[in-house]
Amino acid sequence: MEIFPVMKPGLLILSFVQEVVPNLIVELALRGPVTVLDGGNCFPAYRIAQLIRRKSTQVDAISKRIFIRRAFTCHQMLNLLETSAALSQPHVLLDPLATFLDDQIKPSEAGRLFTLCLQHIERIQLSAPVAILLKSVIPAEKEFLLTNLCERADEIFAHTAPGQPREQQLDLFQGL
Amino acid sequence: MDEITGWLMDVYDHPQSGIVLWVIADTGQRLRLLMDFPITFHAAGDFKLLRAAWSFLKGRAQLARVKRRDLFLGERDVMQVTLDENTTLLRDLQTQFPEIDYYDADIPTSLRFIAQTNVHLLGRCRLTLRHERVLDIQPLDSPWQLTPEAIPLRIMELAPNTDPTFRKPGRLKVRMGRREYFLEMEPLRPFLISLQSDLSRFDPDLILTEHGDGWLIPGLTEWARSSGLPLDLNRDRERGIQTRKANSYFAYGQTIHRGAQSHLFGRWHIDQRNAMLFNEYGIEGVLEQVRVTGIGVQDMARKSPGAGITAMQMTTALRTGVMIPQHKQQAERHKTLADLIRADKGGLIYQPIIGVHKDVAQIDFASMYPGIMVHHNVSPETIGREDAGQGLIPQSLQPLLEKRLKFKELLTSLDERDCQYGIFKSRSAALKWLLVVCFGYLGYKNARFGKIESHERVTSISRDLMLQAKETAEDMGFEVIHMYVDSLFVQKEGLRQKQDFEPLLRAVTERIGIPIMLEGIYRWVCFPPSRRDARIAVPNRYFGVLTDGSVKYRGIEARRRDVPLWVKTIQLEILKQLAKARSLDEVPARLPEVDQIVLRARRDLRNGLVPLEELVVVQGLSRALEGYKSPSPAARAAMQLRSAGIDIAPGQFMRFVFVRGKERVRVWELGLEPKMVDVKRYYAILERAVDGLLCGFKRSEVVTPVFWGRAAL
Amino acid sequence: MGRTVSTITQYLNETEATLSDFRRALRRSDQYIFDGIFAAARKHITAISQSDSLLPFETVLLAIMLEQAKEIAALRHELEQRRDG
Repeated sequence: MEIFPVMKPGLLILSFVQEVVPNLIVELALRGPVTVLDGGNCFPAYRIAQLIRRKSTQVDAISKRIFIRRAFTCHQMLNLLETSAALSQPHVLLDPLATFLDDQIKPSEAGRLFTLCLQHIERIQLSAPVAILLKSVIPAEKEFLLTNLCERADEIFAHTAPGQPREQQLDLFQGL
Repeated sequence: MDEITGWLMDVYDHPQSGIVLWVIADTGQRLRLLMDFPITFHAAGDFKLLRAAWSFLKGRAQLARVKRRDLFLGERDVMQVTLDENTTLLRDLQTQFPEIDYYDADIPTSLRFIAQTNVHLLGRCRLTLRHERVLDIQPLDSPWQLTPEAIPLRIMELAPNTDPTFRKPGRLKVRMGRREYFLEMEPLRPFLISLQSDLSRFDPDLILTEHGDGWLIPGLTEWARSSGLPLDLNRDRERGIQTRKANSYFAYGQTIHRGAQSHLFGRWHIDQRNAMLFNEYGIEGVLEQVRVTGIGVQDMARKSPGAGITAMQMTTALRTGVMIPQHKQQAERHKTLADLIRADKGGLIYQPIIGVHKDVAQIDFASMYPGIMVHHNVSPETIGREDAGQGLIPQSLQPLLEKRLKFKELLTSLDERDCQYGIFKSRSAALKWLLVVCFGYLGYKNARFGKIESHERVTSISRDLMLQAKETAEDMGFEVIHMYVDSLFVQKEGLRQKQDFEPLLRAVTERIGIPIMLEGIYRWVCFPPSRRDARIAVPNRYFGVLTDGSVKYRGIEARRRDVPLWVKTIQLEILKQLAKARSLDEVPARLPEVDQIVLRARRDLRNGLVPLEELVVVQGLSRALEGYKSPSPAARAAMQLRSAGIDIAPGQFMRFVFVRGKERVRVWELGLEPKMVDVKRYYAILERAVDGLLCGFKRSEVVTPVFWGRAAL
Repeated sequence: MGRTVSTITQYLNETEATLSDFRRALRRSDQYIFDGIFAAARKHITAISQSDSLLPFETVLLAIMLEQAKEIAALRHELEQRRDG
């Protein structure tokens, strides 16, 4: 499943497939700095480190190219995007809608805030590719958030391609 | 013009403008007073939007362009808006202009009042009045005093004779001062007339009820209305009773259910069944929290302590000129992978050495996390800055921390039989609860000034301090048996009395700067292994006997809510039996008696001699019934209640008994007979609990034969 | 607020889970020892966590070796006692 080749500046790529994202982050890190904005508290730190090790012996150096920032509320999510400079490094957003699903946030308010978020994503997109992983199940009254996002996407990955072997290598000792 | 002195009971918005104050005057009068109180808030953001907002507000509020401090962004050009009247203008503004950053817009009025006048709730004050208008108010005491003058509160207690959720009550128990009697609730008219007469004659300041929030207060209001009879639950006749709906929400990893609420004006209503932690510290505790936080009595009794911490931060912000953002929040600064792994940890937890140990001292840091925040100046705006002055959070916490420590000291020097002891204990416990939650509110997602970096800094410092404490102990020849976040269990051959451990306490306190105190010395303490594998230790699970003969335990069945009382009682009996051993060597002699206890318990259960109430299991409903793929016992119980016409919300607790047959559980309120009880199930629960205690005596490790353990598993 | 990175306890549980097929094919008595290896690692969860390792399994192995070394030392000691005693 190859997202990586599709990542080019100016493009917004969505993925509903979780498994590809750690690999994507690592492939990007092998080539340069990458920013990960985690809105779903799901950044798999050790998994990423393991993946780096499978592809390189320079775990320390490469891990230093991955910059993580987390948001735990939708207001923090907006602030994350507001304060993200439009650098040329690729951005990977993990489950950015998760924080908007809080019961306390009304759909209208969620819509308003997310629209502002989308504007910033567009701004970042101009200089670097942006990939978004979608994970959380969205309740009906907030589904429009997902629809808005999908409308803006240049590519959407929804299923694992058939015939791909599932990665399940025991990689505890690889390259030790 | 008059001058009076008394206690400030409550502050709330007047419907039109200004505020209403309720004062208990030294004369004994309860006074309703009015005071002008303009409300100020600030707006910042896009210049064009602000200009439009200015036009929107012109003529309806006082406007000014000022510079004010945002905690993170520094000085900001903001529009200052002052409202003289309590209208919906702010709400209208926010609906029209949602993109503006609003500051100081949703602050509880009591906090504004306290920040402005320095008079705290339940504090003594001097007022200058013209008729019922307050021209001036001055504080006469401080919320940080340990022994404020006692307020002459009049308390009326009302309690129905049954739980109205399951059975309609017929009588109401009424207690006023020393008098206690029962009122028949039918026929309605005499009942209401009698209650009204009590209310006007006794004129309580506090109505303490059971089931008042959801049933009694709304009920009384409705019955009075439909009978056309007066019932002055409020002292403030211009206001109706304020009701809030029940709801369930998800927080701290669990579903929490908040019952409906009924608030009065001019007096307080607290429903003991719906008050947070009321069992922990009672009315004295609630009043203490109100004193130091500035949240009104009715709210403080029902809210979690976290609301109190937020209030204290807000008051400090108001006093020091820091604007309080309504929604705007700071996100994390970037971290590398290594940074994240290093920072994202909790408190230090050291696996215990499995087995029984003798002459072990438990030493705890007093309020470690708040202590770190104050001592190391950890605040969202001071992270990474060496030269920063005292941060907002430490500033708001310091007086609270100091008061709590003073209480702790006072309690150790007082005799338990002293008549003040109970009151001080409640107040101290109430403050402890505030301190316990303040750490979570550093990084908590809904905190006003939350920043995860400050949260991480505190845990990082705490881990380091614990390791320093361990080093100090080991340097002095102690063995560290277990560590858990802010608590250490240490042991040294030959040391078993209080004085023996004092050098260690001094050394650690000196090195670390946060007081560490002796919680207790165990004659013996057992750290039982995991049920999964007897070679795996479990943090924070232990039981033991202190030098005074009392038993202390954590993490075992006797502590758990979902274990039936019968099992807890047996476990405690066994513990008491084991406690009779004055030293570890005497324990084996106690074991035959323990076996007898268990045999008797099983026999009693088999013969139906255990009161059914003691077999009740309490379990919470974690989600709506539809959300269960395979129903938990609590879900089954809830389904039974639903079939009986009683609706249950997630977060509420089910009480049920395990029964034979397909039913599996029977909800307590629907009644059951002894022969229905699933005896085998209760045998299993008992066995687990007993085994949990005794297995620690059967296994112990000095040096670990982990790999070649005896095949006797 | 969310803990994002797995705790070492979670990490060990996940690692054990990936080895479940391996474990299953062992004899029962060997399984007991195998579990003991992970129990040995669990005794030093704090140290593993404090090491801030990006690849914790390396540190896990170190903890296991530490326990083995302790066991050898204990056996040696017992042997000497019996020889002398």
